[in-house]
Amino acid sequence: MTKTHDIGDVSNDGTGTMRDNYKGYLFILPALLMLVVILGFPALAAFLQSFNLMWVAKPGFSLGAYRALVDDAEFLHSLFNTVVFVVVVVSSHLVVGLSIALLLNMDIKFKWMWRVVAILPWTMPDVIGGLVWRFMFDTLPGIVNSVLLRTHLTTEPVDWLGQPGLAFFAVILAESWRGYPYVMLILLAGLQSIPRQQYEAAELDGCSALQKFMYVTMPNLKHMFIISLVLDTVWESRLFGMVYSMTGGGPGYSSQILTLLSYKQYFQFFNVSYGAAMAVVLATVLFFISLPYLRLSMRQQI
Amino acid sequence: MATVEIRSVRKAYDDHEVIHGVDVLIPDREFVVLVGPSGCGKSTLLRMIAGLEEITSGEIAIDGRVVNEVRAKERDIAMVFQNYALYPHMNVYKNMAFSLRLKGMPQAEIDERVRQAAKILNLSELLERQPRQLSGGQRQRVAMGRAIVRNPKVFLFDEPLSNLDAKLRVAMRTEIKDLHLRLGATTVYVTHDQLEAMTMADRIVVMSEGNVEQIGSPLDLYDRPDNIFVAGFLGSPAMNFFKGVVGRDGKTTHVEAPGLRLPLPDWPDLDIGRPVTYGVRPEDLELSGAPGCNISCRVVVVEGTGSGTLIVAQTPAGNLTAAFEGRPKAKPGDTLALYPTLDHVHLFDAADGKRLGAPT
Repeated sequence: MTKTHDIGDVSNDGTGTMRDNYKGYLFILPALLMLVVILGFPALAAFLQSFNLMWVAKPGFSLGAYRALVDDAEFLHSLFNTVVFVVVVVSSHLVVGLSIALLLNMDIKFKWMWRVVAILPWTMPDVIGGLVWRFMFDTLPGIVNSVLLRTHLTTEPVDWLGQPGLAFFAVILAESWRGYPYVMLILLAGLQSIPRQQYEAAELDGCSALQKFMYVTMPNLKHMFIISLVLDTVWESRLFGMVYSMTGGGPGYSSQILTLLSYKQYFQFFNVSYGAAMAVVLATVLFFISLPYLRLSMRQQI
Repeated sequence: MATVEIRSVRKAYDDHEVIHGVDVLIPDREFVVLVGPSGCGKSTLLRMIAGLEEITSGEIAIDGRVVNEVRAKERDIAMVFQNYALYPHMNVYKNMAFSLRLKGMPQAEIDERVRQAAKILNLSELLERQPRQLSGGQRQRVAMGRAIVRNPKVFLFDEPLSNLDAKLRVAMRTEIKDLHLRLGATTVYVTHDQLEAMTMADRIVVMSEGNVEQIGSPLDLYDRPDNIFVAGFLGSPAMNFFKGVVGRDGKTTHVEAPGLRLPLPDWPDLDIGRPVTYGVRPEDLELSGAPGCNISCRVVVVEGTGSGTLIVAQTPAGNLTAAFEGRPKAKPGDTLALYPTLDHVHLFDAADGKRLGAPT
C-alpha cells in the first residue's frame, strides 16, 4: 500500500516540476522583455528594412540593396579593410594577451598592481581612446612625432592620420593596444585553472620550461584560446567608436570599416535599406564565426 | 632501486619554519608511509624528496647521492599525485609514454614498457581512452602506470587514494601494496589516513607539526607508542585517555583519576603521586577480569558494526569507548564494569606526554 502511494507521489512530482518550470519563465520574463525591446526589435527592423519592407517611402519587397552592395567599390574596400583590421588586431591581441597573461601568472612582486596596470587600456571608452590616440598621432603637438623628431628618426613630422596607409596602420595599432586586456583576462583565467600538479608531473617527467609550455600550458588553454579568438573577432568586427573618433574612416575611405560605412549610409545619407543591408551581412557573417563558441558553451566546456 | 636518506632536513617559508629538522633513513625496497594530520609537513617532506620544494637546510640523498641541488627531473624519481595530474589531452598510452618519449627512447622500447605496465595494472583495454573517459580508480592506475614505465629509483605517492570512494580505496590499497611486493621499489607514501598507514607500510613515520613523533613498524607503533600523540593518532576508535596521579593501596598500584580508580599492573620505577595520563585501547577493555580491577561506567551509546560492537560509556573522568567482538548485551543507561587488559595499559607523563616504561 505504502509503495503504491510512493509511486503516486513520484508522478505528482513530475507535474510539480512542470509547474516550477513555468514559474521559472515568469522570473526571466522581465529580462526577456528588455531583450526583445532593445535587441530583438531593432534586429528585426533592420532585417525588414534591408528588404525595403519597413520605414521606407515605398514599402515593397526588394533585393536591390543587396544587389547594389556587390557593385559598390566603397563597400568592397570597407569589407576588405574590416577583414585586414580584424585579422591583424585579433592576432596581436592573442599574442600580446597571452604574453602578458603568462607574465602576470608568474610569482612576481606587486602582482595586483601589475594586473591593474595591464587592464587599464580596456577601461577606457573606445571613443575616448580614439581621441587620445588622435592627439598622440597629431602632426604638431603629438607625442609620436615629438619622439621621432627628438630622436632624429625623422626630420619632419609625419602626417600619420592624413596619409591613407599610415592612418589605417595607426588605427590598427591603437585598437591593438585598447583591446588586448579582454583576451588577456580570458587567458589568465585559463592559466590559473591549470592544476599545478600537471606542471609538477611534467617537471618530474623531464620537461624543460618550453616543453611544459607546449605540453601542459597550450593544450590546457585550447578552449580558452578558441573562446577568446571567436569573441574578440566578433567584438572587433563590430568596432565603431575607436575608428570613428580617430580618423572617421579617412582619409577618403582608406581606414573605413563596415560599421562606419553602414552608419554613414544609414544616418548621414539616409539610405536606410542600404545601411541596414550592410548590417545584416555583417551580422550574418559574425553569427557563423560565433558558431564554434556556441558549440563549446552548449557542451559546457568553457 | 635505492635508499633515501633524510638528514636534519628543515623547511622554512620566509621566516616561518614548517619542518624542524627531520631524520629518516629509508633502506632499499622499503615501503615507508609518512602519516600525520593536515599541516604536519608530510607532503612538504615528500615534495622535498621529489625536488618540487627547496630544502632550506639539511640534506636529502637518493642512492647515496646528495640531491639538494639536483633538479627534480634529474633525480630519477616518479610521483603519483592526489588528483592524478594526468595530461588531459593525451590518451592513456600517451600519458604513460610521455616521459619515455621526452628521453628519446626508441619507439619499440617505449611500446614494450607501456604495454607491460598496462598489463600489470589491467589497463590494456583502456590505452586509447582519454583521461576524462576514465573512472577515478582507472585514472589512479594510469597515474601509477606513468610512474612504473620509468622504472625509477624511488616511487613517491602523495595521498593517492584520498579522492576515491571508501570501497575503491580499500581495493586500491591492496593493489598498491601488491605492486610494491612485485616491483620491490623503494616507496615513500604520504597519507593522513592511519588505517592506510597501518595496512600498507613496512615502516611508518608519524609526523606532527613539522616533527617526527616516532618511526617504526606498524605494530610496534601500535603496541608501544612513544607518546600520547602517536598513541591517539594510530588506531580507530582512538585510545582512551584519563588524567590522574599514581596511587598505591596496600600492594597494588593504580591511577587515581577524578572519581575513578584505574587498575595498573606491576610497574617498575613509578613514583606515588606522579601525574600521569592513563591510556587503554578500546579493544583492551573486557567485560570480565580480576576482581576490583575494573572501571565502572554507564553506557551512553551502543553502536553495532555487524562484526563487532562499540560501546561509548560515561565515567566520572570522561567518556570512554570500548570495542567488542560479537554482540554483548548492553543498552544505554546500563551500568557496566570494564576490565582493562593490564599488560596492554599505557602510561604517559602528564607534562610532556612521553611514554613511561612498561609493565613488568
